[in-house]
Amino acid sequence: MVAAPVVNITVNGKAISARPGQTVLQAAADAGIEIPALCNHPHLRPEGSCRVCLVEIEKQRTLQPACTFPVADGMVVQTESAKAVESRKMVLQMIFSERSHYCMYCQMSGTAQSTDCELQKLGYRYGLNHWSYGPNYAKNWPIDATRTHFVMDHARCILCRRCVRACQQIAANHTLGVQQRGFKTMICADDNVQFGESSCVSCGTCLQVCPTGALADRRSAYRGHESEVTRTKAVCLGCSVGCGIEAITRDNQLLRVEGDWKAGNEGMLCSVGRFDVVEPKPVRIMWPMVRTDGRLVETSWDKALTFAAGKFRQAHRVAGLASPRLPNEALAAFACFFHEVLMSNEVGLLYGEDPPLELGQPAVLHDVAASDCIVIIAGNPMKQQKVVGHLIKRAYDNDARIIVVNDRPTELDSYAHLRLQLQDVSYHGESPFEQLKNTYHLRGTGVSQLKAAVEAAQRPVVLYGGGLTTTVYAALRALPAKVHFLPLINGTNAAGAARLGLRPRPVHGEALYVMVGDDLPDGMVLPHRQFTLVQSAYRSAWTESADVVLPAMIWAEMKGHMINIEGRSLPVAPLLVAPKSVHACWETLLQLSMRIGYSLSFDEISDISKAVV
Amino acid sequence: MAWPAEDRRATAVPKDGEPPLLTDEMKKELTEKYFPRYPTRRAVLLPALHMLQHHHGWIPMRALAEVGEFLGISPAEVLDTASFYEEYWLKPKGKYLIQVCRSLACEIYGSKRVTEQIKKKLNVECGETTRDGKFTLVELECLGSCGTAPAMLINDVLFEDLTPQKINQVLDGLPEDAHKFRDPTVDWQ
Repeated sequence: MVAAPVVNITVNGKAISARPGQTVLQAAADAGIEIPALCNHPHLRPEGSCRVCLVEIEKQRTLQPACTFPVADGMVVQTESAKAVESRKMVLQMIFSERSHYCMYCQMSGTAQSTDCELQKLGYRYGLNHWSYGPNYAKNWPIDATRTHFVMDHARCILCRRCVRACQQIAANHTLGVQQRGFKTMICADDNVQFGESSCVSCGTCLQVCPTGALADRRSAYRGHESEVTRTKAVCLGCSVGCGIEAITRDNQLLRVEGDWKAGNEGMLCSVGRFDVVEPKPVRIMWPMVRTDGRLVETSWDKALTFAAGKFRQAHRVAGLASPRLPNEALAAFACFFHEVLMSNEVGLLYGEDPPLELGQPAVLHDVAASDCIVIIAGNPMKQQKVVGHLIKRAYDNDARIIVVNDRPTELDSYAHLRLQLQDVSYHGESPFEQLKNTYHLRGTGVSQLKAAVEAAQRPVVLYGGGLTTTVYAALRALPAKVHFLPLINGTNAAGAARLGLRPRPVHGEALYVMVGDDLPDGMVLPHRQFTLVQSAYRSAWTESADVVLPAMIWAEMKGHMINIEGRSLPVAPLLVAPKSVHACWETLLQLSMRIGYSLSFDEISDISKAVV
Repeated sequence: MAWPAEDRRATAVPKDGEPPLLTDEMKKELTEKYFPRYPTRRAVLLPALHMLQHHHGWIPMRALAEVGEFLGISPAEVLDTASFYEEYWLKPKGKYLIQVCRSLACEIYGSKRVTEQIKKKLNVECGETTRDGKFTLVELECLGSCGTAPAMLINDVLFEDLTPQKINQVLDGLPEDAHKFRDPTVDWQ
């Protein structure tokens, strides 16, 4: 094995082996030496505009920005020399004096230990107890509060342009920009419209990278410093992408959600995963309820379960529907309960779509962003799997060819280099036997166009939705082997459910058990049956039509696993402790099975969940 | 169903039903003359802005959006570039552009008084245009006429050794039609 080339440099007297192409700041950071910087962010391309990271490099005439200066063999760097520190202090003074940093009112402000503001932290570190330039308190800097989820206070902005670069490089949305120059410079959206009126999709990536309090989250501001909250890595259950999140919790409350930089989504989230999860929800169901004289009346677990068990025992056939938002373990227990206890096969999913999972080599999320030819067949990732939509736009910015095959207009149409109809890409065999022999006849020109585009590309990716005809899938299977496939699954854990044999389907039976977890109807109506049991976290149109309602955990309280569109099993970690009167789904099912007269044992459920994982 | 969220992305440039400010002729000229010159489409942004300004006298916001759509650049990035250069006018500009020098030599010889007199006479502030759209007043750095300070430019014509009295004379003597305005110190015969 050939050893990787090494560049030897010295930082603050410490010998460091850096990789060629690294910047001084990166090399120092890898060796545990932190060079302060404000405009630099490890996940954005360096810009070198704040001048805080200026360091002294031997044989360089002037101080150099560490964030953009590449390492070279024999380089000697001083990050905290008198000259560098003096310059840094001056730069910090100028940044502080540019806007009215009236720290005591800012949600990020704190002591030297507790502050979350990167600017204030540097102020403490370099002992900035006064500044030589006059403060700029007199000017009224605008505050733009037109966005639903977060506020921009220009008074606290240091023009580091991290938000602008995040909007361009990570979200590939190109909403944010800078206008004017010098003292007049302002962050703006589109052609200088209010943020709320702009093309912003509220992915919140800018909020996550802002070094100061200029971008403030409405729900979590002033509710705790970083030192007072708990950060837990988890998985977003908003859709089937299964983005990695960092949940910020305090006192058993979810304050904020941030994207996990190390997960497949690379720090990005959509408005659903970042903001909608902390928005107010309908009334939480805390105790079981039984319909008495036409009204749902709260009762004890024992009474409700005994009543429901009696109804299930009487019923000739019991049907079951589960939400695809539930983790594998809950779905497995649900399926097991129907097969083993109720002896019924009438069990399925409330909704969801599961396209066939094996058309060829599976793709991971990063393949989409790095692809040079993306084919999107059916499905609408800009609406249903928004983070995938952002990855497609990122690839588009890198000159990837985008081919959209759909009979309906989608948000991706404006990016498409080639737009086809579904019938253009379906093979028409003369008979099933002919199809087996792979002697297809082309109906449209689409297949050859698709094939040519994919063959010309280095890293082609095909994203496909469900509900297509077998001829379309056959056409996809016949594409060259270098194509990677990513299914656009509708329904968070529909892939996990499919592995358990649970699919969206009509179910029959005079009694109905609907396990929805924290899902909401969004206009969807349950089929009418003689007896309906709904297990739900929130009051909704579903529970209003039920005969018995049982409480359920919400996504942040559940423990288990989900399977995302990449086919990976992701751990769903409990972030919050559920109320005492709310139990896990499998626990409820166990209690119910005992009252029906067939006892499911723990082992059976854990065995099933093991088989799923 | 899963939690709903709306997508507010406006992908198309809003059209008011008015004829485009970036005309087909301009697009043709940009395509034929400028695209071959540069490695990328976006590099043609500055020539495109020049062209618009030359044609309309200034660059309306709608034109920025049209340029962005034509070159495949987001509106924010077009505004970023257009607002960076003071020479691009993003506000309507008067028929007469008055540029008073505020550099050291002119300042010492009383450019402040000259500017104040213009402001008073036209009832505008620096950077503003009169209501009738006739005059726009700005200050700028050295015109290279320090020997005859204070100096100013009206469109392309230089005026030297200014005094508040001279200002009244010059402004009153300007013709109604700006196209007829030529340097009075030059013998045009």
